[in-house]
Amino acid sequence: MAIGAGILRVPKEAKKGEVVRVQMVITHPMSPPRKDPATGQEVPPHTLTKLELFYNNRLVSTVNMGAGISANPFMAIALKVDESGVVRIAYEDNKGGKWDRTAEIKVT
Amino acid sequence: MNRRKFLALSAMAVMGLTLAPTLQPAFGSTPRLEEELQKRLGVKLAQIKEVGEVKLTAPTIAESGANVPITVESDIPIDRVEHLWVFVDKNPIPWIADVKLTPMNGQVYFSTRIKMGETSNVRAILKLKDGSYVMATKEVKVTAGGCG
Amino acid sequence: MKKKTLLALFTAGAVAGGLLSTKAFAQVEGELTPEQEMKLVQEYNRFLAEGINPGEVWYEVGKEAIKKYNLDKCDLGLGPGVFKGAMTQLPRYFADAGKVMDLETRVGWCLQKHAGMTQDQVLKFVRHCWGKTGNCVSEYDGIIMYLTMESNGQKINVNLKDPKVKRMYDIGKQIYYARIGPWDFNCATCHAGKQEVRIRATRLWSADRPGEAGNAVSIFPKYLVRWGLPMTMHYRYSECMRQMRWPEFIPHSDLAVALSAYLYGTANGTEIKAPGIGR
Repeated sequence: MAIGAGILRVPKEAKKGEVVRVQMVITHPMSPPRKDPATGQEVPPHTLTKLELFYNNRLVSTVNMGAGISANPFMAIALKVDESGVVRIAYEDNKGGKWDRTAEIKVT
Repeated sequence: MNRRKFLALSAMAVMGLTLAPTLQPAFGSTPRLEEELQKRLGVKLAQIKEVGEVKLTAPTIAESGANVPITVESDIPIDRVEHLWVFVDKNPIPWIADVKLTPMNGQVYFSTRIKMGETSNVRAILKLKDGSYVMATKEVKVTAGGCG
Repeated sequence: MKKKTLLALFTAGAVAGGLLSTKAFAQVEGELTPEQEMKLVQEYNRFLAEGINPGEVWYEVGKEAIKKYNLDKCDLGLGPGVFKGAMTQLPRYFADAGKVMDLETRVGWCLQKHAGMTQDQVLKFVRHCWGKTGNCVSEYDGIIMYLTMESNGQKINVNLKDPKVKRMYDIGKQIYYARIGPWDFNCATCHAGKQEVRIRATRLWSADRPGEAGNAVSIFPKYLVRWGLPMTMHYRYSECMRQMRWPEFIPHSDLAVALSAYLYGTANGTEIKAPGIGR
């Protein structure tokens, strides 16, 4: 498993109009710029920079972030579901990494 | 210093404490925070109103600054809210994250875990559709934990 | 300087500190009683436990690694590849190895047998992320996480009626209470007795208070937020022994099995809830 793997968790079922919580954990070092103690060289930061939350392909939220978020970030955002559909998170880091994950919610 | 002198000094100190907020509206701010607020929001901390409708849940003590769980919630209807920011006053970079919100969120809710270099205020700031800013502040004390 | 003056200076400093700090006069260092501080640390731990535990990501790592290293042939005591509930009965005696083994020692044995690793390779595999932080993912940690989580919700049930297991339990108990090393330390210095022991605002668990050993071991591997990775039981043993200035701990050794037999045996009846999370 590499950087960028993660868990996206939503309730399997929800009532129409219910506000659910979209929870996620992504493996990422979220390292700030720093000096390597051994070599004294500058090590550039390596962090997630942006995460977008979609529901049925409509953009719900955009999160911008940097090294102030803990390693292996956890995030939770609210989502109002009016119809069954697919939650998708798409995220990227400052080294060109791009990933996405999906999960389904059935509205009953 | 004798006891009397000390008491007098303490009294002055306490007076200073109670007077300070009125004398200096941005009490508790830091130059780094002001710089970031100017850059990202275009306002000063003093222009942001602390309101009860914004709720910031964070531990009072964090045994590891590497991971401080925070949750921002608000009763303000989502269609009146545009954007959410999280700042830590004393971090090297006070800006932690920001979230663009839409009515599809249904509710103002954002939870994450943040890094804190030292004891500091954490701030959750909302930009409302009318262009105003509101916030909640909570001090989190970063301490060393037990054995490793 | 007189004691009173010192005290006054200290207090004045604290008051001045309050002035400089933001608003929290009541939260100035030293104003919290130890009890209040302990409560707040417990609150922090409660907050940490909300949401998704990042340690759960290692479950998927382990699932893949088990295929990659042929561990679906590994017998943890319930038959090859039968992992659900297997953790509950470990440590146990394995006739094929002629030894009592705990989960990690058994996995090491399986890695030699089914993945063709040498003992040195296994030890390197185990220690892949030891001493590292933030961006290290170890397949071994994943394997241990996966195998433990497969027993989540089930109760620890080490067979202490088996004399071979009981013998390791007794040895483990002796080690637990043996004062050795240059600092004359043992596990019991911190984690035994009826009296409460604290380090700063953390109340330490004790093997001599009912249920506490169970609560402590049933959540391993435990995700440590300060390192950003899960800590397996053998890594825990290793760190404790390093802190006690004991000789270097070797993963999968009989010493580890003895300690596991004692700790998990004491933990009998506790539900497995991996991964835990902590500072």
